[in-house]
Amino acid sequence: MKRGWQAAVAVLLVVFAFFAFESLRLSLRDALGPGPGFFPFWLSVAGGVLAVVLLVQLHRESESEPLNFDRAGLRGVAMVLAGLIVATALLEVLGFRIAMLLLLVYLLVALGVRNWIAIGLVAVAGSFGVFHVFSGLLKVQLP
Amino acid sequence: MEGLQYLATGFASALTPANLAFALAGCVLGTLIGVLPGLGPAAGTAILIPLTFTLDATGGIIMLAAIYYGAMYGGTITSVLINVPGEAASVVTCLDGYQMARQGRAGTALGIAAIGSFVGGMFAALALVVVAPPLARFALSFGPPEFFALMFLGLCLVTGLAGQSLAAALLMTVLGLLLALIGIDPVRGAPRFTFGIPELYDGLGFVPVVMGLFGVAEILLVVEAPFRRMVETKLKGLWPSAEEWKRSGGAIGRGTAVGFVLGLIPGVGAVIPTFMAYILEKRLSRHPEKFGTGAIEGVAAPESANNAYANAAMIPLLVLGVPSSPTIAILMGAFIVNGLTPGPFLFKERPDLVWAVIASFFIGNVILLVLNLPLVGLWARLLKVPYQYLCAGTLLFCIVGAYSLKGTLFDVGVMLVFGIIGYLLRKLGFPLAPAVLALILGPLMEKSLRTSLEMSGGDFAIFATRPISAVLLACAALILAVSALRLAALKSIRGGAS
Repeated sequence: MKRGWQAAVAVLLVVFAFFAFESLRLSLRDALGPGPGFFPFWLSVAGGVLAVVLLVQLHRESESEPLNFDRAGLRGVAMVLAGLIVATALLEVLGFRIAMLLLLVYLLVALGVRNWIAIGLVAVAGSFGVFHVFSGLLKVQLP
Repeated sequence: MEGLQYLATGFASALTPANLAFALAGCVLGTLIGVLPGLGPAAGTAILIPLTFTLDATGGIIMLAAIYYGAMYGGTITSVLINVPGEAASVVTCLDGYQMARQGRAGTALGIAAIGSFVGGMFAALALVVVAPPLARFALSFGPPEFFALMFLGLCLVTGLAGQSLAAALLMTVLGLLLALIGIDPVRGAPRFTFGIPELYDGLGFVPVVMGLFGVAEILLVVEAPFRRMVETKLKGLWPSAEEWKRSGGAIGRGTAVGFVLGLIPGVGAVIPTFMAYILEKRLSRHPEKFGTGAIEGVAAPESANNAYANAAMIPLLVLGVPSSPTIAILMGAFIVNGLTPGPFLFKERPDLVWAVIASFFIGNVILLVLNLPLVGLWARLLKVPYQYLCAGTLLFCIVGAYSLKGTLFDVGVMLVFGIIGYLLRKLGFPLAPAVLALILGPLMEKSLRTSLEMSGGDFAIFATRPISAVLLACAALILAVSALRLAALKSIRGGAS
């Protein structure tokens, strides 16, 4: 857990340094008062100081229990994320109905469902059905 | 009682067939979210925001508010039936609710929870009617320094009460504030941190970010560790016996009081009132040993506190424009999406909307009582839906919601990125509530700060010389100091024990 926290805080420190650098490129002060860079700059400085304080605190602490990552569970998470990323990339290429039909079939199979009738029904309802509700009834534009 | 006059006009609007239908739909969807483990009120409200895009502002907000308190109501069902809270506030209900279910008294547990929630919700809504007009009038005298101090205090309360590490909570707050500043500078109109990406000119969309942090992240956590199935139990005898009524009456009253008072304080969250109500009941009981073994007071008190809190938490949002929890911040986001900023000016500029929404709280509580007493068996059956279908359906809804916001894939990408970030942060135990509140308050805080400094010619003393802002900032400093001392004391106790 400690290493996970250290990594996360180190990433945040980089983010704050980046925001501080970018804020300096905006004006911190102008004729009317504080400029566009004023608030983000001082926030980034405060965030950076906090991150350093937290890193020092973590360094002094003894190793806590390791982060609980279940390998099978992580594989499931990775498969779901991969499906979501591919489906998002294909959304405007294939259109909502086909992309979501494929995504739902993929997700259900990836999560261990083997009832093909149920998979088919859920996929059709979730793709064509949802498209009809949003596009037809709620007048929301979908690709 | 000027509030009652306004409330009458609010009811006239809230009782129109369309708004009644929105309240009903919100209560049904909210209860569904609460019933399904793994999907909390924040995630559910965020995911369902797009459903309200095509509605008028009043109807949309009535529906979202109903989703919120519906989810708070519905979380009890899983606590009682499968010992898994549908949302965090129902954790304490597991202690006695599940034991009652094991003894064949699941119906009574759910019945008293519904009645307690109804009483708590109605009391808090009535108190809102009485408190809101004078408080809103007082808040109308606030200028930019006071608003900045108020929002700063709200953030400090949320930060001070979040998690085990004050530094981590503050880090999340700063991160949320910085992310909120992406886009066009509200005062000068200059683009900031946009890197030439046109989609970022409007800022990071609040809805895709919270959908990612709560919706996608929660589903990823469920995928990693699927929840348990329901134990077979028959739901009969929802109405408590005379003896059970006798034991529950006081518990409902005290739970309501605890939930209402704590609901007024930003940052307390829904979990603390339920635990405090439970502990209070246990202390006052002649048979504290029965708590944890199926004591009806152990269900009645926290459930009343939970719903009194949920309704009372609307007071700081509606009257002062300060959200007290991530879900309330999401509701505030829905106001902003509709071009409205909650706070005292909303009472002045759109009293029709505000009072219709307040009236809908009463209607929503009645609808929820009906949904949760006779129809509780129907909700319980939903627990038999395998989690795979729930996960797939929720993710599909997230994609639709994020895309429909502006009709661009960019928002879907933002949602996925924040889904991964949210999943990792939650695995590590970083508090997300301060980040979400900071994300919604960031632009308003910056505008108030810079306008205040323009008023004073750059002199920070303006915050100390105006009495209200000075008091609010002193309270904020005190809260941070007390939180730091409390956490340091806890740490030394733990260090001494190990």
